[in-house]
Amino acid sequence: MFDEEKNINAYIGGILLGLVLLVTFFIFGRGLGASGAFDRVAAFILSIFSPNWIKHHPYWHKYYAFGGTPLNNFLVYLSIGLIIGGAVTSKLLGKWKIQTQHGPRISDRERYFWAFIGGMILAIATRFARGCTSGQALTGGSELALGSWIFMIAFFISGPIVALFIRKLWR
Amino acid sequence: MGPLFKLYYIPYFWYVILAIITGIFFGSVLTLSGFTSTKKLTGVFYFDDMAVLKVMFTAIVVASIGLYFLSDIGTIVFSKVYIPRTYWISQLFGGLLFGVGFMLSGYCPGTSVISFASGSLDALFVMLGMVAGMWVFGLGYKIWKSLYLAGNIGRVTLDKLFGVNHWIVIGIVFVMAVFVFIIIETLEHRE
Repeated sequence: MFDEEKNINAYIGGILLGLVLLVTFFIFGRGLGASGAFDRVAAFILSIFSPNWIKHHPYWHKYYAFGGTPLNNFLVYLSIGLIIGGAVTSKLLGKWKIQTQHGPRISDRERYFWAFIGGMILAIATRFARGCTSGQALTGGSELALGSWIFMIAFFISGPIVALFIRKLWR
Repeated sequence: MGPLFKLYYIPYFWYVILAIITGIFFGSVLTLSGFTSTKKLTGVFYFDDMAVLKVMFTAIVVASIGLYFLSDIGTIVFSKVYIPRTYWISQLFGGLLFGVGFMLSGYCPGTSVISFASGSLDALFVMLGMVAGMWVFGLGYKIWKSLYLAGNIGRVTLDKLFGVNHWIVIGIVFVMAVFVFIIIETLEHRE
């Protein structure tokens, strides 16, 4: 069931992931997500400096519709669980390790630079897409939402093309 | 009957606790599947490790069959399940840009979180970059607002779009998945 890198068989992993999503639909009436938590943290940090400005901001005001803080949200609690689940499970599998992952042809510092830039682009992409691989591809995809399938197709077109140009980062 | 939190009054405390527990399961399954490895994640676009595609496609098929089956037999009230609206132009652009961000960072948002939690320092830089990227988007919102709202056609699902029963669409997705898996397995075992 597990391979030499201690990963579960991909089809079994997929069935388990699908079942987690299904139970989430049943309990909460919504699916999984990750990018929204980052946006809420970003809004929260700004609110420390300018609490009134953020409440009336043309984009971020939506996180204050019900009052309170943008951090009091399903996606933020889900992300806290993600951290716990990732840490505990990698520890149990013997995969927990301080490391910097990149291809053999670049340095750690180059990796950190592109990781940061990549993260910025990723975040902006999730705003236009209204979610990421969790909220759109996985959740919206299984709900048969049109926009989610458009997102997935676009992602699978640009991914391999970009991969060609930045091969040095990874292989 | 579900969705539980939409149909019954349950104290908010349990909403928080169950959301965290759901996240723990979500993070554990992703970690079990090896999604903390940038080599595995980028492998899907270098075509040298297709595990991510197998996991994702299987999960979509399982959740889709489950959701629509439980809705058909009345266990889940489908109208109470949140379905993302379609902004097809904005989402097409977002998907193309997501491929750039994914290949540069080596992660998607969720996998950056579990990878940092399993000790990868590069994932921390992705997470910091993501918060910075959210600021860029929000602060420049007026500049790209028209693109962000472009292609709004509401809550459209594929079965409604094509005017067919949802099981026909799910059947096509299922057959597509099996077809893709057979091709992948055949190529992998030839090596």
